[in-house]
Amino acid sequence: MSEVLLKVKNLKKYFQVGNKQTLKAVDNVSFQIYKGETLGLVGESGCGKSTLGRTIMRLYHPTDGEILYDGKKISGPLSNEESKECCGKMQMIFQDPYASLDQRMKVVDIVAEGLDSQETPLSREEREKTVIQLMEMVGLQKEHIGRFPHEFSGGQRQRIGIARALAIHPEFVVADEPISALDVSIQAQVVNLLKKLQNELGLTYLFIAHDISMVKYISNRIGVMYLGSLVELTASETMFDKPMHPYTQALLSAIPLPDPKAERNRSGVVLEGTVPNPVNIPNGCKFCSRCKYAMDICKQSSPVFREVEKDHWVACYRYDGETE
Amino acid sequence: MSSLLEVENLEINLLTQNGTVKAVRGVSLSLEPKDTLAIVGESGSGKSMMVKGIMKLLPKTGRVAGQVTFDGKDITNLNDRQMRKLNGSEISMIFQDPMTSLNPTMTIGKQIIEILSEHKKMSSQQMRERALELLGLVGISFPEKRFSQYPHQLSGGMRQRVVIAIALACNPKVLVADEPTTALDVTIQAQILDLMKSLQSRVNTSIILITHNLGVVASIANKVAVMYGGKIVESGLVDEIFYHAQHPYTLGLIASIPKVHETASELKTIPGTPPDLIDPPKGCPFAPRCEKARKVCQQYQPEYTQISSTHRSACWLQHPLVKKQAENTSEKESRDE
Amino acid sequence: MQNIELTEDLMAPAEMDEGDREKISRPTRSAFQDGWIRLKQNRGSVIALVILLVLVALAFLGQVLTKNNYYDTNYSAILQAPNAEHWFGTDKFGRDQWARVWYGTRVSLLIAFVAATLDLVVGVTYGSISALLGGKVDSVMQRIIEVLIGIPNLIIVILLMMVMPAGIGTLIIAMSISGWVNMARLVRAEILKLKDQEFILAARILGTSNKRIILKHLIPNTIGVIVINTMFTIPSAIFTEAFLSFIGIGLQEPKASLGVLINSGFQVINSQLYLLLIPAVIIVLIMVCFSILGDGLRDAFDPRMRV
Repeated sequence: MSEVLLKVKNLKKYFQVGNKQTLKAVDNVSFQIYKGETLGLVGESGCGKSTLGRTIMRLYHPTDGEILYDGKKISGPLSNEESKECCGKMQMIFQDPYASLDQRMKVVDIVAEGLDSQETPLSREEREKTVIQLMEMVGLQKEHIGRFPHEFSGGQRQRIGIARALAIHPEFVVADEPISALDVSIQAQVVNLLKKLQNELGLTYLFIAHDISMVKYISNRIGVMYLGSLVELTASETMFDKPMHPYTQALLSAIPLPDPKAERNRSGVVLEGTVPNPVNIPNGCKFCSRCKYAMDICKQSSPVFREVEKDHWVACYRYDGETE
Repeated sequence: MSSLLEVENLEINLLTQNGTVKAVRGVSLSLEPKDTLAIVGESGSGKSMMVKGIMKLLPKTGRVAGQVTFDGKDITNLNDRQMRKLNGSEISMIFQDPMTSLNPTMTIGKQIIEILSEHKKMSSQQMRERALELLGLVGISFPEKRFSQYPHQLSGGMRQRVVIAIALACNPKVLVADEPTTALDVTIQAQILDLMKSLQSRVNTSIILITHNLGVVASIANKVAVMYGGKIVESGLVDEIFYHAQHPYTLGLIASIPKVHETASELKTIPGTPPDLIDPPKGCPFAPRCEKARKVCQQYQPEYTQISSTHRSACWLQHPLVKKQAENTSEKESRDE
Repeated sequence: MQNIELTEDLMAPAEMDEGDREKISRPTRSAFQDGWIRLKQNRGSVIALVILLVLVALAFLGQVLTKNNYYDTNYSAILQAPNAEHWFGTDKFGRDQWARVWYGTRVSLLIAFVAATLDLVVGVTYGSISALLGGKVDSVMQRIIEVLIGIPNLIIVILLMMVMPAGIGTLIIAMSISGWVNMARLVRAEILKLKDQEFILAARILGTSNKRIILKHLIPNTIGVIVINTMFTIPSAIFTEAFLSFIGIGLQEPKASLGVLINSGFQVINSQLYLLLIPAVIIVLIMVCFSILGDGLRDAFDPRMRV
């Protein structure tokens, strides 16, 4: 196995909401990302996947737990130099292609934002040359750099966002639902572009999405989150061939297939009910209120997230005892 | 058979300061009773605008030309008041976001009753019964309890069910659903799709479904119209579109959907960006992105070619001359080999 | 059927221009240019803008056009109706009303502009500090604002006018002392909204310094709100000034402002209506025009209006 780039240990991020209620957005999550791989993180809205991504990017202070990048602890307070160094290595791509670019700035200034805040500023020509290179890397043209973001289509804006993130040569990129707001054919474009860039630049991705079917095409491993916790984590093929957690199974079978004949033979609803309110979740497995296999023990205590098979982590009591 | 809704040569222009957006450019379609017609297209293809044009919900800057016939009546030139009478009772609409399409200050029951009292003559007892019946119909458990609850007390999926119940309140002949599941999570989407499928057999309503998700189309539609650049580029029965698509755009769209149960490493994509409809391409709107484009595609807009009685496609590749030439080249190639 | 000649030649595969696929056909315009174009389309705003420009020009040039000035009394020519010599007539001391009206307009506009600028500077600074620092600082600063709002504006002004000498400076200070509160609240709300936007997060992740974030992102994106709010503070400052002068605690004769003129015109309302009418019409024009222009600007620069 190649070396670990990012390690998340028992990470917790709680938010205080109203009268002393706590929203456990990220609750005791542990995983690691290897150099050069893509880890896909999937879950429904409100499961804490974006909060997790932002906490890793140091936009939120974790309530508890550790994040290690290249063996160094990056959670908690850092000195100015340390945080600068860490900024240079990690970048983020955002979900909303409209809100993630400043409407008042020209594309050239948006893409060059990272360059401008470096210690040795580039000359005007160099700056422009670098921006044009970046634009061509993401499939846009040099004529575009003088335009304003609102003149571009969603997919083009998303590529501008990617160019901006790559300007300072990061090693690790958190892509926070970069394709959710795009049309299908454009989603495929962005996914393929990210893959191409990964090959060319040797990037490592944490790819967050709610659409598990698209994540498969870019991820080496996929993690499934439910209400703030990881419930399953394994290689992409295994996730699709042999999903273990009942939630993953439901998630996979809920995707409508672009195949009318198969759809006609589909049998009923796979998962009843909705995600419970994330504030004040009762004890026990968080999924047990919707799980068709729920047992007594599921209501009493939450299952441990553990390696049930080699490289296949699941948090479910159904697989307890299988390996022990 | 007479159509329920017949749209002929619909054109919609939106005046903006940057110029006129030719959002819909000569669209014709018809909806038969009990049909579920899916209109598929990417954002900016004009699919939402078309429906808004039919429903007369366009912004003030919109200009509509063409003819719309509903149930044998020409509704092209109805004024707002006449249209409002039709909307809600004969034609009703579901919007994308269940959060904003319900009034947060009114109970669920009141919102259903409100629409009933506007269009139907019923006693308040009858209306209450009908409202409870509707809530049951859309699969809401404990209708009595939900009746007096407010929208914020319900989850997103539940709210979308309520929206559907309101839309069905007056037994409309046509239900227009604009991206009804896009704002929902997959598992909730599956529930709503399941509900819509079961409603198809129980309620006598034709559905126009606007979506960009081909999975949703496959699961509930029986007819499909694919829109691109303000035009319908291909239309046909659902099987014809999914298994025998002719237009390169439809093919590209189908190929770019991730396949859940197949292992493939590379996703197919359509290169480029949809055209800006302020200045649409002179020829076929898809020509700039089409791998198979011919010179004619860049110059002239293609006519429809009838592939079967229900299936037609607007593409020059279907033209006999192109076909002939393609045969010639392939013959030549095989000879060269 | 289209009447085109289909030749074999047309059926040849097209030469593709890769650039065409990513073509953007609309012209490139900044948000400001966009807004300006939209403002020009709004006929009401354009008329209001023209009227305002004419009024401002007259306020400065009005006095040049006549040889009379605003303070010379002439007891042989009192309370004259408008005539060739005195275009707007004369008041009870025989002073030329034309000169007085434009002088008064100038004073009123000056007071309003200076007061609005002070509001702007104090309000924007206060609001952005409060929003950016957040936490305890923010809540203390907000409590201060609430206290200021709690005290009726007029009481502060009247108290201040009693301890300070009557004059333009005092008026400006009196109006600004609580006038910035609105601006501060608006700016704070706007910045709080922007702070969580993804483009600000992106800037933070890229290592952009706080100073740059404020200068390059936050201020340019709040400028619309600031300008529009200023457009509404100016007429309200003009009105406050006129009101104070009218009740007699503003400027004193022989100085003139629109309020002073209306006050003295009001005393002879039955015999010399023009003395009241002309300054009243001007003040109404200024206030209405600023409001229409403010509305027009808000519509023109509202990001939701962008197509």
